[in-house]
Amino acid sequence: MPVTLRMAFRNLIEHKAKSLIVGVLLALGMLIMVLGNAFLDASKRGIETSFTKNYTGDVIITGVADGPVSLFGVQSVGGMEETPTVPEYEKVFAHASGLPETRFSSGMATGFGLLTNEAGDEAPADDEDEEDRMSAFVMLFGVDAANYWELFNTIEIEEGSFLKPGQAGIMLASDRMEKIGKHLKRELKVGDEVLVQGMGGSGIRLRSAKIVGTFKRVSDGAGPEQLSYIDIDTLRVLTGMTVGAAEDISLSDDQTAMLAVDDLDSLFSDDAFGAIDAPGSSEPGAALTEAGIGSLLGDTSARERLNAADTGAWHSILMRLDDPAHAKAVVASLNAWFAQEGIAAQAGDWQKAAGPYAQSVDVLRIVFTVAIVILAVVAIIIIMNTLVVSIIERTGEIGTMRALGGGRGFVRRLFAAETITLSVVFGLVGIILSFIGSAVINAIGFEASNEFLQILFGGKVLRAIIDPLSLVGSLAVIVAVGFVASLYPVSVALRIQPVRAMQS
Amino acid sequence: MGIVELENVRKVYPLGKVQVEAVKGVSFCIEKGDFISIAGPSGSGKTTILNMVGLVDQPTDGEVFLDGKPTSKLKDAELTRLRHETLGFIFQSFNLIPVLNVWENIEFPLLLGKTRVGKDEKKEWIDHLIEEVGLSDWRKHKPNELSGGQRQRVAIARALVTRPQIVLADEPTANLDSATGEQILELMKKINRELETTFIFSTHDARIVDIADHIIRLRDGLVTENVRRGEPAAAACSSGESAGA
Repeated sequence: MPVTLRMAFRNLIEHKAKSLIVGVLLALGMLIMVLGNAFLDASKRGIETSFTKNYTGDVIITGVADGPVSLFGVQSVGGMEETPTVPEYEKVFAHASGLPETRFSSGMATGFGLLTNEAGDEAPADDEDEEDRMSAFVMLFGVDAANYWELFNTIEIEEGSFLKPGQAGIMLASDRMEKIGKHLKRELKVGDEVLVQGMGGSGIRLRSAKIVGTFKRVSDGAGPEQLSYIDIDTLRVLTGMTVGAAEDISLSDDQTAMLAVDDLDSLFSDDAFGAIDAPGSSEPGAALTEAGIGSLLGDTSARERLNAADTGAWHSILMRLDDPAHAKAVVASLNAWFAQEGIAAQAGDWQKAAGPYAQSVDVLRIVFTVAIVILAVVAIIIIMNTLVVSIIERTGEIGTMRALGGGRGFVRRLFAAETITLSVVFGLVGIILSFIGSAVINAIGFEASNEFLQILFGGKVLRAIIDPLSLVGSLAVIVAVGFVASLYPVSVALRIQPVRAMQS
Repeated sequence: MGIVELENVRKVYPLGKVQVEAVKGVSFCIEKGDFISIAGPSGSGKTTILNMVGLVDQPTDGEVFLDGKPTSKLKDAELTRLRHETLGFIFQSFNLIPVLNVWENIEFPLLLGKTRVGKDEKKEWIDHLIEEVGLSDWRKHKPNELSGGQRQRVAIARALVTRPQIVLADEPTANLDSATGEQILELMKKINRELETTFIFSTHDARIVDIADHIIRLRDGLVTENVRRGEPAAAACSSGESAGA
């Protein structure tokens, strides 16, 4: 063993107190980094598995908007931007489905709705809690029943059946049926009708939907809890993806004249009603007929167009590949094809599809990294201070080495060896502690009590998965911290002159 | 033959706002194989002179010649190499490396230079030195397990391990009891005779002065006496004796 390394080991043992101060800091730093990364990796892996299996598939195709588009809409500052539809859907779908890597693909659209009673009597019951109330708010996945279920085979029917192609209806999560029923003050069962209040860019719309089945997931994991599947046409109407919605509405001066009325009371006065004569009759006060009222309302084709689903409108196309590892290449090839064809669409991987859910781990990682950097700076200052004290105490020893013929390089190597030895030894201690810590946490199995924690944990249970690469990276960071912390103390050591040997 | 020569050497130290002149223009010549005592009371400048001869300190004025070569213009790396190849040090406080055992402490200077000694040759030489200084049974002991005399013996062996031409000893008996001090002196004298190593002492120990071949007495930074084997010694090495003169 080289003399520098031998001396380094022995000096660390000789100066136990200082070695321990520095070592404990390094080991703790290692423990925090390894465990933190283990949680984040587990979380990311959990979210990835859960989302690719249950919600996103391997690749998503969406329209283009100002902000990033995901399965859950557009992320924008105001949060009000409407989700764009996939342009030239038929052409894009045919191309995506025809790729050799594609196993399954399906179109879908997303919306939000409130389940309500026709009479609007969903006032809170006495024993209803906040969770019951919130259960009436649902995220709606409008699916293409012809191919969506083969893309996501993790959905299992508990009662009733899957939505069939061309069938109108809604599928509710079996574990939420009771809560929704409690909110609606009636026992819900398959075959019942529920009123869905859609919230889209074109206002509030109501549609009745029959519960065709209840479902649960085979693989549980992180994801939106209040998710229901609905036939695509109903969703389109609820979210304003209708034929007429895309048309410009132009009204004549006569039609907008009512908006210019100064006195609103005059609209409802006896005179106003008295002025209405039965249409088609020249005699005042003649009986009103349906045909007469129809003719009074005039042309209703615009309203009908507003209520007719735009059958070509889809928010996204999801793809399941034979090998998920090809996702990056498929995304690149699709985006190149969109550019070549001049189609304003974009492809992305599961992270793009998962949007805010996937970003939560990235945000956490950034916060964690910032915390680690702050901790590293504090650790560097403490280690530096301790090493400087140690070097001052060893002035005579360093002077002697210099007097005996040890050059500055030798002194530098000696202290580098000490710092690296300290970093590696206590880094390994930190790794051992991390393995023990992760084993204990995995054995205990902390459960996530809400959706936020589920996303944080990447599943229902907190897991720590130690990645060998992250282990090597963390060790490198610890050695780097040790090295940086030793730079100033080493410069102090290098300034010690050999004459100090005579003065010791 | 002159191995060390000091030519009008002055050393001034800043001490707060005042300048202290520790050595006020000293010249002398030391010959190879001599056993020299630089004697004088505390503050006379003997340790300062020893430091300059040992190349661990630089004169403010004047020149120190080592083996005929001027040393004042040498850079740190060259001074380090010269110290390693030419000089051995014995310190008043022994200055052993606390984490190394007796054998390793003696070996230490051999690991510093660029010249590598064969493993067997090194072992044989270190074992011989350990035997010479009477520490055969203590080779695996750490300095804190040794007495003062034993530590100084280790320091002597360490000073000799690179086979230096000159060994500098700063008050080598100051921290030893008189019996141990005498043993150490006898040992150094024996090595001086056998290996022809030049020993330069800074001391006020009368016993060293008594056995020295060459005595340089100092007072207030000046040489007051320079005697070699009872005769006044020359302040400068003759041109035949030193290449630098």
